Amino acid sequence: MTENTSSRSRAILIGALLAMAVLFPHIAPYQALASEVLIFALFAVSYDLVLGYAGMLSFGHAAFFGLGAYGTGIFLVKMYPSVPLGLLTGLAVSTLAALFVGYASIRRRGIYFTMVTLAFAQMFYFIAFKWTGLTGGDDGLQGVPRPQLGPLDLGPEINLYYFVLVLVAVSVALIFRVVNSPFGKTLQALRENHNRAMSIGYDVDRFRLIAFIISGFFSGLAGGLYALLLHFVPLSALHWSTSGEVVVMSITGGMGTLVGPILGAVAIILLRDVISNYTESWNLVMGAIFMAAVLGFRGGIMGLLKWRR
Amino acid sequence: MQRRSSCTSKAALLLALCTVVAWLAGAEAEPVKIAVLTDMSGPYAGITATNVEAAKMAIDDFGGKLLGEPIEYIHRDHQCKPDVANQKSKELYEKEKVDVIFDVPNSAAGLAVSNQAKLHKKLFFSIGSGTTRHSGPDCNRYTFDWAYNDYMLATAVGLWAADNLGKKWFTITADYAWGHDLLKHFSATKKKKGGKLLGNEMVALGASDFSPYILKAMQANPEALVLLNAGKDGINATKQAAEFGLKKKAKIVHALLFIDDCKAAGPEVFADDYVTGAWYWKSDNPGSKEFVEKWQKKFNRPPNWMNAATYSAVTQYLKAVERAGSKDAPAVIKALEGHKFSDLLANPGYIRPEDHMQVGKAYILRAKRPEEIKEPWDYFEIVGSIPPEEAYQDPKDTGCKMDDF
Repeated sequence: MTENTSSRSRAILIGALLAMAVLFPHIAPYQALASEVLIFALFAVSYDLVLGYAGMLSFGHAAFFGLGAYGTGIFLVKMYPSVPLGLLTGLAVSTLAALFVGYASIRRRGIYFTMVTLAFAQMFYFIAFKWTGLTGGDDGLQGVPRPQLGPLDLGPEINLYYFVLVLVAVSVALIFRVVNSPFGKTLQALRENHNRAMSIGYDVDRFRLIAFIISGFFSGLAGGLYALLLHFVPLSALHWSTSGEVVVMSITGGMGTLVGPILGAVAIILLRDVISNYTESWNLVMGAIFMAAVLGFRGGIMGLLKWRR
Repeated sequence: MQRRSSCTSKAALLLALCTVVAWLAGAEAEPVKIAVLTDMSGPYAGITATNVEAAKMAIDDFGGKLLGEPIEYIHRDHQCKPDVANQKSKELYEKEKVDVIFDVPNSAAGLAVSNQAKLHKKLFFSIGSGTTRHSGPDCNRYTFDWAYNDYMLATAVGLWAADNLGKKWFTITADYAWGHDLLKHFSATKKKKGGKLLGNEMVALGASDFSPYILKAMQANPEALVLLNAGKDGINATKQAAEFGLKKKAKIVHALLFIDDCKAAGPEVFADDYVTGAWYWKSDNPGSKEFVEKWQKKFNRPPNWMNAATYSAVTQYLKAVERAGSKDAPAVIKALEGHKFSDLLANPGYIRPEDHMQVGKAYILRAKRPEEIKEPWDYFEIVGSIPPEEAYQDPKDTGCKMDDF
């Protein structure tokens, strides 16, 4: 396959995805679900940067997602009703947290790295759980407004969807740039052979930390948008199960492909919603699908598509 | 306005589709559509999943028709996740076009759906979630709080215990928003009755070892040990209290205990404990026996009080639509506000216009000893009741400012 045809097929894929995204709220079971899918797609893509490209299995990404949501929500509820300022606050909080967690955990490898990130995420969870005055604790942060954004009324779900779509599309494009830059290639190099990258002279920890922070940044954006979508921040956004969910989305979709996690997020959220309408044992079905993805088609949905071709 | 802005951003085909949908929606005579949104696969599923059946039964018993149209019904599982509850409520209000949502256990989920009800200007009856915020600072015109709240749970049993079990208490509290809320109301009751709180222990949710807290309680030598927790926590704490012999010296009082918990743990665990209940299946309220009989026949067990509350709320909603002669939200809300009724749950019941709390007597139940139980599932005996004025907070003090439509 030459460089030319691959870039053309990629252009077609991106075009198709965008066209789907524009029409999506009209096909989805309901409009708010379409926004949720996009938000989790962004979360999964930003997570893929860490898992798929840098090869770090973080089990604490709920922290950045949740802190983005709480940062945005608390700003909007308690300080000033402005969407851009709220999102920026959420981004600042989640990025700082990623810097802190990343710095402390990056020196560990494999399962130890995973455990340290999980520990930090649980720490943030319990702070939010206990700090009822600021976060609403177990009741969640209720009543997050969706103030007018210039001429755009974010109230109707469809308007919010297109607002989310623009931000998610730009973010995903930026992550694509990052992945295909020399920086991204370096990440992949040190994922493949850590010692060799180090002996060539790369400052491995610095690269890993930067990737972690970028990932935390975009996870925070996804979280901030989630707060806007829900009109509140559930404590579960910080719960470890949210970290688990994004891992499952990445793996089901196909990690290290960026498009894969998007498909994974779409598939998992839509399936969960639809199946739970028919049976109380929806978890059983989801579990079977995940197991099939891990055992049967190891490249995930993306691997399945490539293999067909 | 909303429809226009949504159509302009799309292709011509979709514009046409929108118009057709709008035309269809306008042309059809609209039946009343009812939704139950509850936990069917999460931790509360054992108690709340059957609320779906209670709602269906209420619709059937009503006759299945209202305003000349058959009543439509739908239910959704919120999995005990507040974010899912929020999204599902949007689906129900926007896409399924339901007029009202019932239940929604879990306080965070209930509060989120209450906010959605307000945004969509449709009704919501909170049954499963006990937070006092529904009829307090977070109250709104579209939300009604049915059958019970945390204030009532803690206050009713507190008042009764002060008069009947003694005034020296020790509390063990689940360490999160719900437990703290119960403790606050319980302490207020204690003050009112001149009781003495010998100590309180905050215990993390899901703790399995209660022995240090039970030992502290034993040292304090209270007349009643008050457990402000629920489910597994309540079962574990009670079991361990019995093992340490605390039950020989003091009574145990629970804030929340279901017949399902008694079934799960065995009746010997809770023997002679006391708890508040909004209803018990041996109640002789009008319609109660018929409801229980029908339920027994269908499920081979009696309903719990959440089921009865759901049945009552759905029935009272349908009657309000009938009185209003329209399913229009403001008309139905006005028909509900200040309404007095008698049904299986509340005899009499009253919907307070000031804070939308549905109030009725609170029952005090005593858990029977194993040898007293003659019938399967007959775990409790009604030993007293607290009038609504005492069991519920004065609406002046709830902090609710009811808004306009």
